[in-house]
Amino acid sequence: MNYYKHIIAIVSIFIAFSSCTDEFDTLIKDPIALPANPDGQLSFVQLSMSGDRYYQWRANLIYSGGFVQHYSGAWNVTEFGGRFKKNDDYAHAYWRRAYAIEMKNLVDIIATTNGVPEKANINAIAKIMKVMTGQRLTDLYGDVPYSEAGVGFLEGVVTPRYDRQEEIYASFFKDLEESFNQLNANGGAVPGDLFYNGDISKWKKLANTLRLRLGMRLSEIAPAEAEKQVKAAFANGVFDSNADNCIMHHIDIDFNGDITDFRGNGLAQALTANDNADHFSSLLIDFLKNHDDPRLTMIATPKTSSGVIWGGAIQPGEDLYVGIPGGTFQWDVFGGATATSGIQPYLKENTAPFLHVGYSEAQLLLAEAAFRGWVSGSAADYYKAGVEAGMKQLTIYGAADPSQSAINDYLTNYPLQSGTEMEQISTQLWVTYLFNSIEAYSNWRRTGYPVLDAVTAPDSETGGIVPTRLYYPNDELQKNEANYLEALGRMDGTNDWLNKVWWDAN
Amino acid sequence: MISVLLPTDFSENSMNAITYALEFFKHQKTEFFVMHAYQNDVYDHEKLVSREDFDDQTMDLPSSATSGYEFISVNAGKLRNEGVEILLSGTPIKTNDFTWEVNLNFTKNKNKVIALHPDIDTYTISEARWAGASIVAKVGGEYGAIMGQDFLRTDKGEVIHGDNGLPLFTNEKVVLGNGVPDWTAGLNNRFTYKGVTLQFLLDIKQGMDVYSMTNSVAANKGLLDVTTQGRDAYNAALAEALVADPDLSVSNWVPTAGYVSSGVVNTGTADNPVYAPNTTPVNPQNYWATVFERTPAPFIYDASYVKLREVSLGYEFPRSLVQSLGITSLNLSAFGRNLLTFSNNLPNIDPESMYTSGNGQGFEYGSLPSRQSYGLNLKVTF
Repeated sequence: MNYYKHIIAIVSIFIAFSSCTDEFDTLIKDPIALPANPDGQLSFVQLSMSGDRYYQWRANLIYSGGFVQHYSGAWNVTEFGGRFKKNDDYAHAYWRRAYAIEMKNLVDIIATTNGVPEKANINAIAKIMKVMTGQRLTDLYGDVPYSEAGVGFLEGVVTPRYDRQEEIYASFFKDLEESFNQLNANGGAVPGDLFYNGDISKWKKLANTLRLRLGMRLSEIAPAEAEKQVKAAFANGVFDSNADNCIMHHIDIDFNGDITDFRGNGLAQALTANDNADHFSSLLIDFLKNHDDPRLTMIATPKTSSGVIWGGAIQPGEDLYVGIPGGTFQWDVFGGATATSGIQPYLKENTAPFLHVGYSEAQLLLAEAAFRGWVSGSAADYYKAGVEAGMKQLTIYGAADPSQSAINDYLTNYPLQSGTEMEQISTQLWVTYLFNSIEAYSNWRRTGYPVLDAVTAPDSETGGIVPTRLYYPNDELQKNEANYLEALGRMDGTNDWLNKVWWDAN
Repeated sequence: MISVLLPTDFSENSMNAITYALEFFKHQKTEFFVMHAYQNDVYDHEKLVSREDFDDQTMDLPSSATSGYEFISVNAGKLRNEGVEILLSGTPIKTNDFTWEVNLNFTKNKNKVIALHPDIDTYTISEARWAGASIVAKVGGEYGAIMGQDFLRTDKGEVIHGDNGLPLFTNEKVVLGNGVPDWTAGLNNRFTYKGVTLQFLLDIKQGMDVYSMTNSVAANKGLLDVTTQGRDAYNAALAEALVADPDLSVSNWVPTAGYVSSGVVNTGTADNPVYAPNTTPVNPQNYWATVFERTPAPFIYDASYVKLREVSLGYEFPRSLVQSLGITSLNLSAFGRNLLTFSNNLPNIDPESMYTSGNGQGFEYGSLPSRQSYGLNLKVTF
C-alpha cells in the first residue's frame, strides 16, 4: 500500500507543477499557414466581379437582364426575370457570393494594408472596389449589411447590422473621395491589379467616375446631395476616353464545375450554358434597327429561318433582325429560335471582356447632369460623345469597328432633343449597360426609361409589375434575426420585391 | 454519470430511495435501473430514464453570409438529450409443447438546444434542395423543426390566391412540421410449438413528419395523379383558342379553363380583405411548378409507420430422426423481410426514405425503398 501512496504523491506533485501554458498565441498559430497576400486577394476579387458564373447567370442575366428586357426567350430568363416569378436561388445568388467572396477579401485587404505607406495604393484600390461591390448589393437589395459586413473573422461580428442605404451611400462618397486623395506615386506598386495593371492615374479617374454614377443615383431622392457629388466628381476628373474604361480581360478557361474558377467571363459562360436559347429582346433589337444603329450587327446575328413559314427559307421583305418580346419564350415566337436574331458568338466566348465602368456611361451621365444644370458644357455634346463611345466600346468584344460615317449619320439624325432629354439619355445608358444589366436595372428604376414592353403573362407573380428590388435571403431570419427584422421594419415589415429601395423615389 | 438501482417493491424504503435518486437527476446525468420483483420470473424488464447534457460542443454553426463566412465554429454549444428507454421481455405462456416469448423495446428521445452562441440562436441542421426548406433547432425551441414558406392563408386556413388564380406565399419561413419521431418501438413475438417456430418483428416509429422531395419533384414534372386535374380542360380550351387565333402566344394566353385551385381570392383591399372563392383557372403545369418552387407545405406528410419487418417460420427436425443421419441437429426455416408497411397517408414513398442521414431527418428525396426479401435457411449442425 505504501508503494501506491508514493506513486500518488509523485503524480500529484507532477500535476501541481506542470502549470498551464500562457503562450496560447503560439499554440493556436497554424505553422504552415501562408501569410496574407493582398495582391492575390485583389486579383481574386477582380476576377470574381465578372468571372463568377454563379451570380452573373442569376443576378445579371436572369433577373436584371430579364427585368430590364435586355434579353428574352430562354427558359430561365423569361420565366423568372421576364415574367417576375420568384426563385430564391436566383434572387439570393449575388448576396451569397458577394459577401462570402468579394466583401470578405476586400475588408481583409483593407485591414492588412491600413496605415502602411507603401501599401497606400492597394488600400485605396480595395476601398474603391468595396464601393463597387457594396453598390451592387445595396442597389439590388436596399438596406444591407455594409459597415459590419465581412468581418466575421477580423472582428468576430457574425450578425452584421443592416445599414440604411442613405448611410451606405454617404460612406461610398467618403471612401471614393478618400481613395482619390490617397492614391499617389509613392503609394507602392499594385502587381495584383488586373483592371489597370497598377496605373494609379486610371484608378483616380475610376474613383471619380463611380462617384459621378453614384451621385446621379440620388437625383430623385436627394437632388442637392446628388449635385454636390456630381460636381465634385467632375472637378476631380472622370474618364476622358474609352482608353480609361474599367475592363476585366478574361482568359479561355472553362467553368468545369469549379465554382471559384473565375478566369473565364461568367456572363458569357451563362449565355452559352443557357444552350444558346438567349436572345436579345425585341425592345432592344427594334430600338437599334429603327435607328440604323451600327450596334445592331455588332451584337446580334441575323435570323436563319423564316418568320412566316415555320422552318422555311427567309422570304423577301422579311426583317433579318428580330428580337423576342419581354416575358415571351423563344418557342412562342412563330418559327422558333432560328427565326429570331442570335447573340454574336464572340459575346459568348470565355475570353469576352467585361466592362464595369465606361467612358460612354460617364458622358451620358454628364449629359444628364448638364441638362440639370449641375455641370458646365452642353448636354447635347456629352450625349453625342456618350453615344459614339457606346458604339466604339463594343469593339473590345471582337466586333468590327463601326464605320465613322454610320456613327456620324446616327448622331446627326438622332441628336438630343428638347423635351425628351431624360428618355433619350436613359435609353442610351440602357444600351451602353448592355452586358452589365445590374447597372441598367438601377438606372431604369431611377429614371423609368426606357419604357418597357408590358408583360401580360397570366402566371406573373406581380401581375406584370417589374420588381423594384431583390428580396433578402429568408434564412437571415434564422441567422441574423434582430438586424433582419429591424431592416424589414424600415420597409413596411415585408421582405417583398415590390418594395422600393431608398433612392428609388420615382 | 451515476447509476442508481431503484427497487420497486412498494415499500417505504423504496419510495425514499426514489425520491433521493431523483434529487441527483436534477443536477447530473443519472442512469436509473428499475428493479421490480414479480411473484414468478415471467417478465424481465428494464427501464432507463436518462438525461445527458453535451457541454462545450464544437459545432459549425451556419451563419449569415453577410459575415463573410458560411459557418462559424463555436465551442460553447450545449445540447441536451432526455430519453426513456424501456425493454420488456417475457414469456406469457410456457407449457411443455408451446411457448410464447415477447420482446418489446420502446424509446422516446427528446433533443433540445440549450445554448449556441451569444448572437445566433438557431442551428440549421439541414437544408433541402428545393423550396428553401430547412431543418432547424432553435435555442429553447423544438429540435428538428421543418421550416419553409407556406401558402398565404386566411385566419380559417384557406389558401389565398392572386387575381391570376395562382396561390400566394408567405415571405418568411414558418414551422411546417417536425422530422424527429415522438417515439419508436420494436415488438418481437416468438411462438414455438413442438419443433415449429413462428416469429415476427414489428418496427414502429411514430409522430414525425417528412418533406418528400420525391413527391414535390414528381408534382413539378406532372407525374402525380393530382397534376392531371384540369389538364384536359386546359388543353381543350387552348386547342380551341389556337383554332381561333393561330398566332396565339401560348404562354401569354390567359386560360379560360384549367385547374382551379381551392381557396380564396382577396376582393377587398390589403387592409380590409374580403375573401371570395377562387374561380380563376390556371395551366396546371404553371400551378405545380410554382408550388414546387415556392413551398414545401403540400409535400409535408406524416411519416409515422408500423412495419412488419420480419416473419419467419422454422422447423427443428426431431433429433431421433436426424441423428440417424449422423448430424446433431437440422433446422429449416423460411423468412420474409419488409413484408408490410402501415403508414398514414404517405404517398409514393417508403417512410424510411432519406435525404441526408443522421441529423437531417425530416427530408426525403429519391432514395430506394427498403428491399422486400424472402428466403430459406437450412442449418445443419454436425
